[in-house]
Amino acid sequence: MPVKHRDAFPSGVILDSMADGVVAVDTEFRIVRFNRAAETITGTLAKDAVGRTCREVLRSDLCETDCPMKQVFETGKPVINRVGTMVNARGETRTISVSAGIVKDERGNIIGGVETFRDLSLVEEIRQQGIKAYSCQDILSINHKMRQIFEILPAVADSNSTVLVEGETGTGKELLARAIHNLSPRRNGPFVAVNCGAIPDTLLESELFGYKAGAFTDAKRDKPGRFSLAQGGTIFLDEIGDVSPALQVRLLRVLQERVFEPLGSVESVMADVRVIAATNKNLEALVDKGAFRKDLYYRLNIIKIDLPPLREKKEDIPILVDHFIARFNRLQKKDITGINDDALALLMAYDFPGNVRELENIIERAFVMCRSGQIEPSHLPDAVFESQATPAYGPGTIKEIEARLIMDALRRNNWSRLETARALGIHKSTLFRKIKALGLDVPPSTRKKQGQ
Amino acid sequence: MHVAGERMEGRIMRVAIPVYGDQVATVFDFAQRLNVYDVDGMRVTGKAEVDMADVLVPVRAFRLKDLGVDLLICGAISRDLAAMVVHSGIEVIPFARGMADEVLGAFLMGALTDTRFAMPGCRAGQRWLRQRRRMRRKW
Repeated sequence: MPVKHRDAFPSGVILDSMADGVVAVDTEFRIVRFNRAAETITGTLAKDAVGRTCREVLRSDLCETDCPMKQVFETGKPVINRVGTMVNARGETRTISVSAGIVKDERGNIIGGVETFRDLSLVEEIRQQGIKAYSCQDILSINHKMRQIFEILPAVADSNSTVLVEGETGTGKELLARAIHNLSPRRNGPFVAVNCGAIPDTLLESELFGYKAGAFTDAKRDKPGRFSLAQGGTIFLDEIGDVSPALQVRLLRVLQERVFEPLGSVESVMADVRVIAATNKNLEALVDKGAFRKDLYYRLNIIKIDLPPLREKKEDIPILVDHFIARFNRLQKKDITGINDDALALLMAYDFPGNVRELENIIERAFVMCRSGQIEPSHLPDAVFESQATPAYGPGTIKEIEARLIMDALRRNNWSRLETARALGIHKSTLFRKIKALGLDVPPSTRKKQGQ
Repeated sequence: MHVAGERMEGRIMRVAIPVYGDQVATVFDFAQRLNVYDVDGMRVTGKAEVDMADVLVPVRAFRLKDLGVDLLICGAISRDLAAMVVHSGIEVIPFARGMADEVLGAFLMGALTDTRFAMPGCRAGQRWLRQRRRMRRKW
């Protein structure tokens, strides 16, 4: 049977780049688009699925009793993260989380709907496989990028080279720096952490390098700086992007010459210190703007590690939740048995602007709200629910959905048009045309200058 | 053994088809209702409707056995439940779709292998059920 408005939906190649299963249907529930992830989860090929009703392909317990798509058509409101069970074409039972929204044409007429679904069984299986194999020191992750980092970490730790860690706030930059220190030959030496952004610039210099008695008023005796305290060990300079230009020059000298002078001293002190710097800013962009010294950047950027934000490694959420529950049970002498599917689905859909730290805080808060048994949606903060009000793929016009898909793909590829076009399976010029036609405001690529 | 492409002349049996409205339910595990047909050769001699809404998945195989079902024709079915049904001595033809009465008619005529009665992308999925049937003989 022919399907309606097929060409009006985002193209298959764009949908294929998504990790979640996506099924677009017309108003008669016939499948119009079916992405690659949907093929994997359902075990049904797109060529077999397109034109059939969604219930025949999705085969979930929701289809015939509580169909999310039917509800969306009836109410006009999106359905978010309804947890259900499906049986795939191989007869395997999978737990899925389903969201649905309507799709309108440019005149506002409903032409169909989009259902996105995530296989929660997959994360459940991974959770049951044991998390030890995927942990490094105190860092826990099953994400492929993080596992690559775990693999290179021993070699990085051994090398004694300066390391630059880039990542959003709460991604575990200090945890990574500690892991490098603990794996390194300096592990028996001190690990000294300094948050450069938290100390006023006027004090930071004396804090880092120390001072001699008489260097300034009230400097009655010598005070060792953090570099001195870190002798034989590692110094972790967090928020390095916030350091003033004057101090950048002094840091450059330490990194180049391995010596520094405390304030008021005429003698240089050898710095037997490994430097690990971290920032939540894009240092390369700061260099471009002239706010950060290029020579210091290259001195720091010997080994660069990018920590992905939690929203890009959502598969870690279940194991991190388990980890935090176990920890807070131990610390607070409670017996919370876990988190229920609905609450986990809400967390899986949340973007975590505060990353792992925010997740940890959410679980700590849930421990206050939940006396025993499992953590439920009512124990989660409002912010988690507010994000549900704007589902990723609906409702919206075709243009809006396509714009969101393209922006998501660009974000995942660090705004590189070439890599995004490759990931979407379209020609670069097609992507440029779409960006222009959709009026997307795309920031410059953060990868374009690498290797220059 | 019953084969989907074999005509059912001269055989008496009880056939169950889980339904959603008049159609074959997409998944037997979650089906709310079951049509039970008595078949004498090519003729349907009786039809009853059974409520399955409160029958838990692990109990469904026993329920079929209590009903005296010989053959289950259904949409999708989970491997575990299929194994239980087969182990109970009931044969299974999975991944069927369409109007329940038409599906039964097609089965009786030996035409159930027609692609219009097959769930999308599920033909390959039947293989594991044949393996299960072989396993039953071993048990």
